[in-house]
Amino acid sequence: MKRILLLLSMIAIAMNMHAQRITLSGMVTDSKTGESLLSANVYADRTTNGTVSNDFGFYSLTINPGKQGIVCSFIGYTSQRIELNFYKDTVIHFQLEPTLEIEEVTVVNKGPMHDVKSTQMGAVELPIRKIKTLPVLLGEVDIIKSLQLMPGVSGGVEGSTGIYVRGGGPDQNLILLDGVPVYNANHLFGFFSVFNADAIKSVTLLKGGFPARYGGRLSSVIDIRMKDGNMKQYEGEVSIGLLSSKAVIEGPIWKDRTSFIVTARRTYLDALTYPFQILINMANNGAGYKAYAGAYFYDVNAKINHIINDKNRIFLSGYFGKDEFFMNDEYRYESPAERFYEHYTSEDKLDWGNATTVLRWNHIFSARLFSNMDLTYSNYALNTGSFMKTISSQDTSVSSEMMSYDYFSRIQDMAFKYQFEYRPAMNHEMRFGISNTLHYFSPGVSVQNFESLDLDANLDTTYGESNLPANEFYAYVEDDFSISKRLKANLGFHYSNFYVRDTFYHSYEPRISLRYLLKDNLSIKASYVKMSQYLHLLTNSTIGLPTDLWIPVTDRIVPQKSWQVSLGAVLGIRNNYEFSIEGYYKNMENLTEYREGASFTDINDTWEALIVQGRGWSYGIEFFFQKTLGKTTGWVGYTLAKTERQFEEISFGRVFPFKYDRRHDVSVVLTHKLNERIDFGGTWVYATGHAFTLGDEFFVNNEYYEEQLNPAYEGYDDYYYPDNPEENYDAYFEHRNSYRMPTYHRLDLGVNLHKQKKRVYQTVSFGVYNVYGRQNPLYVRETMSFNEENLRWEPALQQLSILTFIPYFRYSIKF
Amino acid sequence: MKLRNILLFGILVLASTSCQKILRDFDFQDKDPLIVIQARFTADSTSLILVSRSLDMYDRREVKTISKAFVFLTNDEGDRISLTMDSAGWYSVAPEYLPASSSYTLEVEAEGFPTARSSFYIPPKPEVISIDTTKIKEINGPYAGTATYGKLIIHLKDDPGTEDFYVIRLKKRTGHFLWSEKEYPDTAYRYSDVWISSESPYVDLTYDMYNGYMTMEQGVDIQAQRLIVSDRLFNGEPEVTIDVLFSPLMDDLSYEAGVGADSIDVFIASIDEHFYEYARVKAEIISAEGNPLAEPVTPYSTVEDGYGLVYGENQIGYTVDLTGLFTTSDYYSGVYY
Repeated sequence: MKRILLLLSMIAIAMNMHAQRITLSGMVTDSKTGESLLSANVYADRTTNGTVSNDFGFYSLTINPGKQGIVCSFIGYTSQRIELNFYKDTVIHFQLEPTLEIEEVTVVNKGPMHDVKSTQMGAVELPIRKIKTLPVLLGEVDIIKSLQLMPGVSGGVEGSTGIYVRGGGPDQNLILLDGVPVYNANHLFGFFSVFNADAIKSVTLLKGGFPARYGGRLSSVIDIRMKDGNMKQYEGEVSIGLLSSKAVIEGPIWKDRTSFIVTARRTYLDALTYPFQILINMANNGAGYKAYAGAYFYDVNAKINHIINDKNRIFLSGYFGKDEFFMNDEYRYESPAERFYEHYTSEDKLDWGNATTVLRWNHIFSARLFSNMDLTYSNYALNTGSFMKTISSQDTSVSSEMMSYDYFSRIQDMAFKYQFEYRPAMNHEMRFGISNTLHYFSPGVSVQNFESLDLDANLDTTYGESNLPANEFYAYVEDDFSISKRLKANLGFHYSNFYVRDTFYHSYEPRISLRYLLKDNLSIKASYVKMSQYLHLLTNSTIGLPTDLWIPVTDRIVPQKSWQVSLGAVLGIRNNYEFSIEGYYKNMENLTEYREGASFTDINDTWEALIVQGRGWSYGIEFFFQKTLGKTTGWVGYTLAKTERQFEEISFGRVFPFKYDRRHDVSVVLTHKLNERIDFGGTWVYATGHAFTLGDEFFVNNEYYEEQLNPAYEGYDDYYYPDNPEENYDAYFEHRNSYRMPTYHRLDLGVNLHKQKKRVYQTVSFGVYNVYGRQNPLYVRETMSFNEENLRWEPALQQLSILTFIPYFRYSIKF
Repeated sequence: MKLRNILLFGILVLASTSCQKILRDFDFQDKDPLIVIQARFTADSTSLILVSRSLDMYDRREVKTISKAFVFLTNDEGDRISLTMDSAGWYSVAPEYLPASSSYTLEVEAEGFPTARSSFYIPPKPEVISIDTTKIKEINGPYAGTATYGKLIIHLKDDPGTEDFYVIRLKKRTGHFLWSEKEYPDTAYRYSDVWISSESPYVDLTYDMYNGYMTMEQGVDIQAQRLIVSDRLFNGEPEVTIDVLFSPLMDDLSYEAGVGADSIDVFIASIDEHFYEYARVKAEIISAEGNPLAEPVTPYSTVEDGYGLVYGENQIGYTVDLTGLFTTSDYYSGVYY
């Protein structure tokens, strides 16, 4: 009884203490545009008490009553300080003024000291302004490629936007655009990502130490937030590049209450090549042959943002993008003398695209409780089709044949998410929420049609599962709190479940991050996370294509699971430099791969029959040094890592390297602002070559010797057995990915020239991708090469390289 | 116009800067060659073993046999014998050393190579309960729309407690005078290998001279020279029936169409798992060949510290008389090979 009384007394004291504290809350916005500023620092300057604004610019800070100086700061903006005698909960909205030296902002918005003090590990924030100053392939500013320059992140094949984080697969990245998952973030066969930098406000990459609010993927979270639209005035930008043109327009519909932003981008490779194709077809006209081929992509981002009142705000945003590749040909032959006519047409196409929409409601219940509700819809669809028709006539008889083959894969999601942020006391930042997603999968459906007038035949066959519904739910709670002045923790718990085909999976995932402050500018951190993933991406390891299939777990395919431990340290030097070191070990179970010999073209098998499951692990250490302020900024990153896979049904269960295992990965990024009119940037990357499979030992196979080994086969049908052993060599390799392609490295350089004339701001960007023309391998394959010395064909290895010395140019005008 | 020129220049640069090159200095990690063993062991006749060395990618012009190797065979009781060399790289062992239903280990030692080792099992002969013969005319099936064909119904005993594997192949014989015999006496064929098929769900794999090993798919017309059966699909059953479909025509040369076989030799062999796995993997390799999107298939080798295929086999043969089963009109009701 005494103990109960004592406990009640303590609670009463704590409540009393709580009652003595007050909470400041409000929004942090850009004074020029009204755009909310994410991750801005808000702190009481005479204490260590501080917070950062959330993903919607809202902050909540609990302080002791009395006279306090409250500072709001954000790199690239002039800090604001307010000193008042606080005696009750108060709402303060900060409108920060951008500094003139905005181009000096680099890697993190929050500055080195924030990283020292935060519990978050493995996080990178890339300001869009910084991304735009870096040299880029064909002048297309690309968020995902900028992330590839970070330690622990590997790119896919040359020039692609593939992203492999700490040994994880491409499906293990949760790519969120305004909170909605984007399943295929690639344009143009993976050379460009779907994110138009002009529409993006912030990009955050998490490689480990995932807070409990994130789940559903094993390896990373890429959280991309779109701009809200200028609340104050109309703005526009038009940009013309070698590959695409794009435009953005934003402004207030109702000043300071409602804004919009629309961006659009389209490539014109198809339009540029069309005149040449007409000329070629005219030249071939006599032969009756015509062919047209082309490829293009477009994307549109749009958002409307309305402030209902101080406590309520709604957003409606969407992304719509599509890629299409097509090839059509036509052949006509007519012979009046023979009374013969033939007309042949064929059409082949490959298209894929994403559509995402989100309706969002921000509601501030109180100074301590903020909520965000999302209703989202997303659709990813891939279609490939082939159609062929022949009509011919001879005298009075007519024959006709039509064949078509269509293959499509689709995922549709409808989701509801409700999230809360609660500040129950000083130094406690709690988050909790729930989410439910209804998935509809069509993992790979083939439709074949055949019609023939002659044979009086008609075939219409569909393979694959056209609609597989599933339901995914998660709930989480996390608290970021100080245990002592030096020790801070983020403890959380994520629960998820998935229901498909009468099968129910669920997962309990603890998340722990700890930070210990050794000095004001030096901390050590540790984290443990457990993750699960109910979606798999069936990807072909030989090349990267949009034909990679998203598939759900089923009664036969179980969820992917992982756990990851990280240990690291962060040192901030004079508010301008940051050095961090982070080691990790990640264990992954139930990863999926195509079984040996399989590919997505195996239409006779169900997709479940094509795959096998196994395990993988990755460990490494990442070094990161960056300079964040000044005319010259940039970073150097180095990763030493090893990633392996083991599947019972691949290479007879032997351990093999992951294709994108890179032992060494270096990136050096530098930008320099010469003056207000000129800045330039350069990146240099170096990485161990990709792993690939190559037969390295050869021997004449059993079939060649069979007749000699088995006398029962002797004496008849000698011609069955080949005479030439060269046709019967077997290539042997111990396991998949046993060799490395040549080392990858390249240097990119770019210059940006700026000119402001009244309200018009012009930028000309030009540079070169792969300045010294390094022939980095796209693939290596065995072939035959003619030896000039002994005048004979010999086996050889051939490397294909693309993108050697690619100049770029882009002109943009902002008004 | 100026802008268009710039754009065209960019596209031309992209196209023209793609390049291929032969890698002359690719790092093959200095892998040393290993011993290659190709061997088939049987309890009925002399078994032959070929010992050679593996070749690197640039060196595969001729087989490099190893003549001064020490080849040892050890049975499961630990008895070890040394094998003698018959000709360059070829070694042999008499059948009396290889009783069936036993496991063995073959070791090859040669200077400059690590000792290569492979174990194998010589299974007992298959227990055939009966082989029935019939002829079938039907529209559906592998010989649809063609001639009358023959059907062998093979009843096998199978040990339900063990994993067993079988190979079935046929040879046809004729006493008819063949035109080719007179014209080309050296290549006259009184025997003919038989293209066979099966509707039995237990047939996993096939082999033929053109396509090599292939996976048998139910309902798909695959004709081959050998049918390979795994009892994984019927394990637990003490007996199994496998049908084998064949054309009764001698089918080697088209100008001998219409010549019917007098009898047919049926060979049913028990094989050890090594051979079955080799065939299964080889079928996957062949299926993936030419498809750049297909995942690589790891080759199967039974040899530790070396490469190759070493396996045991035990074959039983029957001759089935076809006299009177087919009529001349059957032979001429269609030409099917």
